[in-house]
Amino acid sequence: MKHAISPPRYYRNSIKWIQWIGKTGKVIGITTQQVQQSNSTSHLPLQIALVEFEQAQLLLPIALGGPQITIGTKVICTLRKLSSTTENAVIEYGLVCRSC
Amino acid sequence: MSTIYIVGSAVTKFGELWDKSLRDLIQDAAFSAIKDATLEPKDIEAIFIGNMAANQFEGQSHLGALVSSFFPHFPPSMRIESACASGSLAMLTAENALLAQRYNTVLVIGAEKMTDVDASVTTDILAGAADVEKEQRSTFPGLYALLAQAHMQKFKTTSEQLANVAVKNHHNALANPHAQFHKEITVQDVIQSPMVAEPLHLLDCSPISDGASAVVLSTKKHHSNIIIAGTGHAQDTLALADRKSLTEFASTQKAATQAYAQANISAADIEAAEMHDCFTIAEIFAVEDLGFCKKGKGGQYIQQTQTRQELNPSGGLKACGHPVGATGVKQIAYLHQQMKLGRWNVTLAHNIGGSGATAVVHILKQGKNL
Repeated sequence: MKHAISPPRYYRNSIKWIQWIGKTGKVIGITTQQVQQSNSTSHLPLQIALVEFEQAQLLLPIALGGPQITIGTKVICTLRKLSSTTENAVIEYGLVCRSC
Repeated sequence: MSTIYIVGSAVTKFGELWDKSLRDLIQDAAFSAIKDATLEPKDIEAIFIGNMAANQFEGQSHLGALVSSFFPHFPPSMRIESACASGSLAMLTAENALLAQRYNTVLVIGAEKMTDVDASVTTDILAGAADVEKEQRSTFPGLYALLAQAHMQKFKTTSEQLANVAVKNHHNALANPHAQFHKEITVQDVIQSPMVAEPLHLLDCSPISDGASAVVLSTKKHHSNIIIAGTGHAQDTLALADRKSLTEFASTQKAATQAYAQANISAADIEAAEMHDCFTIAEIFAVEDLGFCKKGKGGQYIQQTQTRQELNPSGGLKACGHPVGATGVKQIAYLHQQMKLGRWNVTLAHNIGGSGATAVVHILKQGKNL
């Protein structure tokens, strides 16, 4: 399985997570993708939300298993495991949002 | 300022061309365009090739040199990349070289060979035209789906209006022998096709295509009376999340304003427009941002049976096909070929890179007194 992001890039991204974890925002756009990138191991369908935070807007996958999210839903940015197997032996985590 | 004439053009068949390599497609388009111009290969002083991802699709990272090697005199050659706007930026680069009087006659090629890899790999490569969205698992259909939802929410645009873009462009493609699809579809076909990214169905999306196109540009008239009358080029944020508005492309608006001013015309003067309909919502954005109708009325405008302009008469990206690097050059080559037949006098080509980060507009004119 190819890794979505190279490990050094993954590290550079990860040190920025702290700026966003725990921040709350409002969903201003949402879609459900039925097709994914070749190197992604995300579950399908994958919901993606455009979230308006106080500082900026961010495009984020929606965490699986939570309450339904629609435009206008208040969400919180959190960390989740995005994939479990990669050829680089990296267990990939990343920012997602969930209803709050 | 020098006048730039389009003196020859060619477009290959677009589609899943398993028997054609990238090299075959480029040679076919390039030498057909030179023949159309009634010139010889040695008359080409420089080559500009628009291509997004030959390095990823084909493992070819030195495309300029490859194309030059097809010519006995090895003219200077360069590859220009700007995602799906690679072709039109190759045009602009060539035009700037002509206006700088570095050359008199040049060849512009657009080419992409996309079907030799799995569709999911193509989705991955195309997602490279975005920014951090790729790392956030978003695909291009996903990004345009967000734009479509924003437009639907703000302006009450409907799924039927989106579908109507696809229906119209499939109908138009019936008359284009180079088009990938020659099949009429209905609004119901579109709406009942599988969902790709809500609200975009499979038939709201342009296909994955192979193809090439080429035009010969010259500051000498040769036999042509068709000119590049105006150009515009503008940028916006690469990341969709950083946009001020999700219901318009400011880059298209700016590029169109530049092009209309240079050509000394308005949107009302355009008789036919080849627009960037990578997804059906993109054509609705285009007719609004190019000034063909009021903001928010694009869906209704396209639904009319008789619009002021002919909209995507080639079939657009949706039905003619979208070999990404070829598209910007194909739009101009198609318009040139139709204008030579006397079909229109003033036309427009609109090419987008990414989800509106790059926009290029060309206006073509013809007349006996040019």
